[in-house]
Amino acid sequence: MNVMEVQGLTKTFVTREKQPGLRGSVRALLRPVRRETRAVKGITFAVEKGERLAFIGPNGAGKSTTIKMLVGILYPTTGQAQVLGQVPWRERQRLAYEIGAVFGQKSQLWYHLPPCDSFDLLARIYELDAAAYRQRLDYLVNLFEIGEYLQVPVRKLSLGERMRCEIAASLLHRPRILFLDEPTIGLDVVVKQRIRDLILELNQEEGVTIFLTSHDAGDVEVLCKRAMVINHGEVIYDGRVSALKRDYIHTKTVSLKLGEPWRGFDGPGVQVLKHKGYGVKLEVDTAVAAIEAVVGRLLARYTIADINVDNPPMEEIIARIYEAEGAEVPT
Amino acid sequence: MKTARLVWGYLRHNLMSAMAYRGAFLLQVFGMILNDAMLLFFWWLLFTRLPTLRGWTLTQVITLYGIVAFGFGAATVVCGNAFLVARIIVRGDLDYYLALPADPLVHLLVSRMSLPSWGDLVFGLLVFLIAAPGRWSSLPLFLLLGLLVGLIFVAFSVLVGSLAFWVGNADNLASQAINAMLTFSLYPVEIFPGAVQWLLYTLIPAALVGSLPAGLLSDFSWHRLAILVAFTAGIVLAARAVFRWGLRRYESGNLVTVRG
Amino acid sequence: MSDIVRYGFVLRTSARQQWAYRAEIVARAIQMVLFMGVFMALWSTAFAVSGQGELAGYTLVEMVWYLAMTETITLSSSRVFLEISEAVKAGDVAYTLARPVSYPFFQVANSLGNSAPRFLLNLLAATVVVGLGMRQTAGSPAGLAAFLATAALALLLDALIAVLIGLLAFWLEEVSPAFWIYQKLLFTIGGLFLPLEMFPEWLQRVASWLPFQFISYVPARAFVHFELKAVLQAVAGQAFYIAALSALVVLVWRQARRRLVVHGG
Repeated sequence: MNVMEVQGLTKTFVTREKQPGLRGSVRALLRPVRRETRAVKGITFAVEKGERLAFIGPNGAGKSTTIKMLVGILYPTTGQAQVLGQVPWRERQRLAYEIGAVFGQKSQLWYHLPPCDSFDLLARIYELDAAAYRQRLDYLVNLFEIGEYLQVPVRKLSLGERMRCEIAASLLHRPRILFLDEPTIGLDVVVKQRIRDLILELNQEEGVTIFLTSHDAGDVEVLCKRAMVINHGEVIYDGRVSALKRDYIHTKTVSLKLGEPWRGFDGPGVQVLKHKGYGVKLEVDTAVAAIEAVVGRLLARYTIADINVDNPPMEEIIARIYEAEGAEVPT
Repeated sequence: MKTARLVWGYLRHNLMSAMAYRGAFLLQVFGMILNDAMLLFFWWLLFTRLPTLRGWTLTQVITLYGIVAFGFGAATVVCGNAFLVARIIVRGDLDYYLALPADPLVHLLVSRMSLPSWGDLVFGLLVFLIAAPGRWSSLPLFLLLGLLVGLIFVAFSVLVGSLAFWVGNADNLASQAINAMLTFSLYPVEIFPGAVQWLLYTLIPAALVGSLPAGLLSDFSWHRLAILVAFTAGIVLAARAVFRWGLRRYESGNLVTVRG
Repeated sequence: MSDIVRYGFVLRTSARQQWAYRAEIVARAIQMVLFMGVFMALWSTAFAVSGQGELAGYTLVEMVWYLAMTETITLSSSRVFLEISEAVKAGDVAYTLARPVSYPFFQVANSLGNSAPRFLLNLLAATVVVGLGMRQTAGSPAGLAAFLATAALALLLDALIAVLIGLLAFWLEEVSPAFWIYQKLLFTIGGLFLPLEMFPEWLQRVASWLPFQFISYVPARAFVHFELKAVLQAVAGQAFYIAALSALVVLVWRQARRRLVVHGG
């Protein structure tokens, strides 16, 4: 069963260009220069109930424009969409009861108050039945383990604790689709994983469809089964994340801080990107060499003060997709 | 009504948030009361030289201050974002409210509470109770008028703020208009020349939030009350309609942008 | 001599910075036009109703011009207390100790630099509005000269008070209430809306000793009712308070510095 059906969704912005200053204003009034920006150029896709979809692309690719249309904040130039059986821009308020959103930057929680107060307010906004709300809140508090923070003012919580409360807040009204935007931004590795686990659990328990936008390749890898890559307003890849991984995410960068001078390192699939003093950066092709083996050999060979293993950034993955498709790499 | 419950919810919520910093809150309130009281100093001195001013006595001027302060205070306590409508539109913060199930206009208005305005509210009520003759018996009328005055302030602010849907520099413009409205409302309308008076009953309805309701408190007439009620209903409906109209434009995404 | 040059440069730099905020300045000028318009209507009505040519020794025209002058000064008054209190909170003040310029007097110069262009613009706006509105001028060339001189001293006095309020940030959590009180006193017994002659006897006597009237009332009166003896007395009064407040600033700053060293900014 499809929770989202999108056909040929297009959005062209028509704006009047205005040069700065007084002369510019007068000119804009008398002879307006119209500029057309084609932000989204005919997107078509469908999403099934319970799917976990990553919606990725560089900034300015048309991601937020598309999401705004799916939520109903923006209406398209042409094309159709149905979200949970409704046309978003026509029935926005009705749809709002069934979708939830978490934006990494913008908070749903009030800064000076404890989360429980914000939860109560949200319950009011979504007109939740009192008994059902209480039950739901208990369930989420247990699941997210935020019981001890409920009465603590949000400004006193760490980022990780706050994010758990944010996501819990977005689930109070049992949305059928959850839009997540950069949910793990700024969090350390352990907390990131915890948040991802919670989202996965919810998806499994309740069948919430997850629609994730993130610049973090780790989020994509762990959370989603399907990925849609968008660039210049077009979908350039729509397939499984495992395929994305296999075809495009097959390197990892290893950053080292040594306790002794660098003497070089050899091995198939290992490339030294740079080294300066006691710092080294290597690129490992995981299709050729297993990352554990490489790290093991490094540890055996050198005294290491610090080591970091990172995924390639999203920009790079997209660049590689473009290379593979033969299209021009955008700068 | 669900909207009423939403408004009530936000009132409680905002108040709780204010109480988190009780000292600062009370200080702001007290400061505002002091500020309002100072304005009466001038009138007190003036009325030592003149018995009346175009039919207004000191008591009536104090009543005028009372009703304007009370209505304005009530308006911005409940709808703390009223004066920021233009800024919210321009910054794109409207998206946040659009993605939620409540009515976006009401939601954006009540999601903030102006704390110093509690001072205006208290000042207005106090001043009325101390100065006006027959005060306790006219209290219900005072509260009703306060409600109407508050609604007009909010509706007017929404109207000028909604200009941001069409005009680039609306934030500044809206602030000037609201400031003008407030300034003019605190003076008996009869002191102004005819053309200005006409303006103050229409485009910048300062007379309708000041002189008219104050006049009703000292000299009641059903006829004039009906005019006030009708005007309030009219401006509220107009504000709603204009905002909705502007919202459709916002949803097309084609707001004016500045390059360079 | 070099100190004056140094402070003078600070003044010019601040003045130049104000040009960047011209939108805000224009907005405030509009507010002033509004205010003057309202009061012109008010005073015209008051005089008409009273049936007299003069109230407390002022004709209608003089009263309106008086207000124009007090408004000009008030709108140009210093907000430097905000800057200072923020700097104290942020701990930036410690850095200024390394500079050769004394921090509070640097701020006084800074404040005057901010005020000067605003003062000229406000004066221009007020003159235009009242000139068009009343179609008559008041005062005299001598009065104008006296006004400019006493207004300059008034702004200096105001700046010193603002700096003092700012320095309170070393001891108080919030200095805004202190500024509020100062401003309200200025509005009332400082003679912003009404000249002191309109006050009842007892209030006049109280007000004449306090510094507030030296900021609003004295320059405006000098313009409207120029009297050499009165002007000289007024200047003497202003000079006295400037000296007294400067001494106070030095004292308070010494205490503040001690606090800075002890608490580390």
